[in-house]
Amino acid sequence: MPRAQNAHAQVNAAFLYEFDEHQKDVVLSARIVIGGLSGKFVHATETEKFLHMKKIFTNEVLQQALKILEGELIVEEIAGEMKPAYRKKCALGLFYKGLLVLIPKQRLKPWYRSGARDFRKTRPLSKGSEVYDTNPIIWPVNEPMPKVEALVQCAGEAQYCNDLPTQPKEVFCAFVTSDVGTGEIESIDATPALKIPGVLAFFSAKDIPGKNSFLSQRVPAQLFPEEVFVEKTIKYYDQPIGLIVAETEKLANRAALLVKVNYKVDKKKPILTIKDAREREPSRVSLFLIYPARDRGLNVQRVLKGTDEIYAQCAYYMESQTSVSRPSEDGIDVYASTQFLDSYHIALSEVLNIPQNRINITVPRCGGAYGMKITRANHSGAACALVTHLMDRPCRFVMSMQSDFRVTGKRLPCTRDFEVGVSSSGEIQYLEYHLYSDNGYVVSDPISPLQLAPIRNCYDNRRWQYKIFNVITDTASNTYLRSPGSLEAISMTEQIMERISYEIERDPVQVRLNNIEPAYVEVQEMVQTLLRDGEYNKRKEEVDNYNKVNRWKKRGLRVAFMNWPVPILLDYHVLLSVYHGDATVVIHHGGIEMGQGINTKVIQAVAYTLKIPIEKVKCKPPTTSTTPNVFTTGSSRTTQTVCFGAIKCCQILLDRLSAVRDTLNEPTWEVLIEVAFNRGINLQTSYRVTANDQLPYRSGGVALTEVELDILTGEHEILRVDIIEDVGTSINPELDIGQIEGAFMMGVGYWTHEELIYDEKTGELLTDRSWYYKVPLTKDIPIDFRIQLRRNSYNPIGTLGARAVAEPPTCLSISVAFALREAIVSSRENTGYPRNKWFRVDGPFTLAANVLSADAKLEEFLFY
Amino acid sequence: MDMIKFKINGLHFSVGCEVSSDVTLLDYLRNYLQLRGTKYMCREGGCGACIVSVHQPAGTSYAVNSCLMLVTSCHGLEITTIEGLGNRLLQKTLADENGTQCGYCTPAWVMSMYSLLQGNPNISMLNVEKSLSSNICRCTGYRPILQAFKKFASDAPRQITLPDIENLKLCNKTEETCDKSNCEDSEWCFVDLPADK
Repeated sequence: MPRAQNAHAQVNAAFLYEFDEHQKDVVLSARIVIGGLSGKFVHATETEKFLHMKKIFTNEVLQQALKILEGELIVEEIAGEMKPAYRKKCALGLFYKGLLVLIPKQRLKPWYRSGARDFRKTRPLSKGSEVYDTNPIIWPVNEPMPKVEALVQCAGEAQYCNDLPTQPKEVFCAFVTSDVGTGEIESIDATPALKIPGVLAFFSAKDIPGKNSFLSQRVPAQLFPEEVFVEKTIKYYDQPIGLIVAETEKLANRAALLVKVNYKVDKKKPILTIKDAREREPSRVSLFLIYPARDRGLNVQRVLKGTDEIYAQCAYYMESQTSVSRPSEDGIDVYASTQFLDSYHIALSEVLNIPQNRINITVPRCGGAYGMKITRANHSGAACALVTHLMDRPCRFVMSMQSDFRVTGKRLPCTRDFEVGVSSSGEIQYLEYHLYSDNGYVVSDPISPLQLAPIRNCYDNRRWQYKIFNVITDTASNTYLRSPGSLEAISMTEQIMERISYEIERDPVQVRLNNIEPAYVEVQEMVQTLLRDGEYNKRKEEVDNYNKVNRWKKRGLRVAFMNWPVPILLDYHVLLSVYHGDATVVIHHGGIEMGQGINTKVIQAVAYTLKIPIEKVKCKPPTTSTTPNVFTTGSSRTTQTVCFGAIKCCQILLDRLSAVRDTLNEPTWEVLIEVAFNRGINLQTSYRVTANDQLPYRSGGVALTEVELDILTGEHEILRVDIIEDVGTSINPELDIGQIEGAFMMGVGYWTHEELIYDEKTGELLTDRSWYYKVPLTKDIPIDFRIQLRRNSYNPIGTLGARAVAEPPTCLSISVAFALREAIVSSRENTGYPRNKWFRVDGPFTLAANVLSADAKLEEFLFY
Repeated sequence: MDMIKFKINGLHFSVGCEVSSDVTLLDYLRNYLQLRGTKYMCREGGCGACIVSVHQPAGTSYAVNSCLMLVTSCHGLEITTIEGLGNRLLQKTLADENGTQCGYCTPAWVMSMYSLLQGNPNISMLNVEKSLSSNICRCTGYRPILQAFKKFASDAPRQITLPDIENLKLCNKTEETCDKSNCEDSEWCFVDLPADK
């Protein structure tokens, strides 16, 4: 199964053998059924016939049976499933595995025994540990505490957009999308849909009163417009062409499929990947930037060249793109699930062609966003508001999972070419590094600038030259997703380190340390702590010993290092008010609460600065009236930045209160506020935090991961993960640990089983729902998960000494991919491949990638 | 049988020809009863956001994906949603362990665990871990959720036992155990532990 549980098996099999009563290894009859291969194959009749009266537990019979089985399996391509080559290999592996379970123990060589073990039956109880400093003297900052909203969320009382009560005459909508990857619209006929009772309207580009774009160029970092509905030229399969409005959600989704569109079909095969573009239309590749080397070493002992590819990832937020809009007396009220209020606001204003001050937007909270609700939320939001505007009725747009997967862009696929010259110790003498990113059909969400700084990761880059390219393909416009740009860049760099370590047969930690940036002392310190607390040397030996005695389960132990440059992309309003009645404080800020605990940390910072209990402080959801013009919540530093603004607001207030305080004898907070109010002092303060208030800095982290891989099926188990992360002096260590664990697991999904499969001819996404696209579940987490926050850390240029935490740990999860590679390498050594022979694994280490890369030969399937 | 009768959170409901045969329990809860604590996403039983607890009077309790269950197939069932859970021990433990981030999946986790405990009050920690495969959480990475829920297992170092919901509070009117059976629809009360306030 692609993940540990709740997934359909790629291959399933059942075996029933009837043995002779006296000669216990003679098969009287056999039943072998294997599913998941093709519609044409279930029963392995030839093999069954062959096994009749055979001594099955002999190498000779087994080998012959495998050959016959291999010959009779009919495996075909199945849309959305893994490659036939894998399913065939796995079927043969399962046949062998079944016999490993049945064979009397004494007749099986211990070397092969591990093949019989099933991870599902042997996984023990998982555990974890968290180590961090907390200083009670400065509490409530640095105090570990749950989120202030935690209990209402657990009790189901927290309100998300789609939980707003339904209003009379409310309507629902769904996108009508293109059925071709490229081409032009000739005509649209919505009558088949409109004929259904309850279907109310169809809208397309011509119905838009303002601009047909949901990305305004008046918003910073939005380079190009993107059409709400295609006017003429189709840019990708499933691009929205129009919108069906109906009385129920279900009806809207169904009716949207009935709209008939005639296309002038472009006969050309769409360009879906970076490789396609580079080979077939190089004009789609454009250079973004060259970063020159400033030094070159002379001690070149080895030159390595290569290419690696990684692919898209979907956010898989639990709340899909959602918005609710209602007519109001001055215009329109909108409830949105967006990370970027300003972009959303201007988009609606331009699409509807009504002034911004007539559009009132509230963001209650996001049910998961991860970057895919920065600019992408505007698309369905604009469509929803359009319906309210045109029909004067409340409208609710909850994109179905399938529609969301198909319409919305994702993490940018990347390709990296490199050539590196290294010394015998793996020290880089020169490095030429070319990074290509697939932006989809337009470069509207600029990720390339976010790749520049992280390429070097934590290494000395004086001898590195890099070029960053943008690539355009016929796919949805790709977008931000947790650690956008940086995950790709850091992973690609770490991969070069791994490659060097294999090719020159040196320890991967040593190779990395030989290239590390001397100035990044905190990373080096964490590496040493990791090696000590993770018992690296001892466990490395244990893993080697395990691999020496087991053929079909292999272990791998690998590291990943990370230095995450934290950019200064920020601009937020904070508005603090104190009620004179009971001296409670309310804060409006432009940061969006989407699980990261921004409100909790802001409340901690305010309570700390004002020296009042946290119960006195509340945050309210952002609205366009209270916090206009705010930048997106993203790049992992919104929380700190808003805390900075909130502290400024407190200081302004305290300044005003000091005149009153001096006239009173140690007043309580309540008395102070009441007196100040009576003296006419303004109890409302505001601050706009901009890039002038903050400096760029970095967040480091290191991880050590041990995995165990089943060579026959490709399934794996993460045995232990140790992470050390530098979060500075955390405002709330408990929440930061949660961010680290969550980010790491999101990355584990990316590197092990989150795979998007497209139809190569049309560009249609085939893995568009939970049946196909698998994100990690409870039993995919490390059996032993140990998190440490770097001790005694303080960030002198971060608010309250903290560092960014929400995104960086995603980059450490590549250690799982490296550990899996190591396990595969160990298996390949048994097959006869030299250890230093590099093999490419593009994208995640899926079942298929693991089994096919290990490339164990059928001749190795033996009993003794 | 002219009506489909069932209980939701202790109250009697019945549906007949006024609901279409394709109305799911999920849509009935959210759209007919406006009980919006139950969320949804994939509508195909894959994400687990819509899980509620079902009790068959003759049998055991179990969790169901309300998106896959038609309301017309609920005859005779006693359904509990997050709104009807009353007792907040599970929720509070989950909150204290930082088991919720964006919170969208959280009510369903609570309902899964509640169903598990109703069906098997003596469940072990290992079986808790093995039994929660229908819920997806994209934020937390699961460890804090498991840590919270394992506290309710029989072999947990300090087990938390979930009091029976019926014994939680006496009715203000009758001074007897409240099962909401003698209430008018218009009457309502908080079934809650004072300590949670």
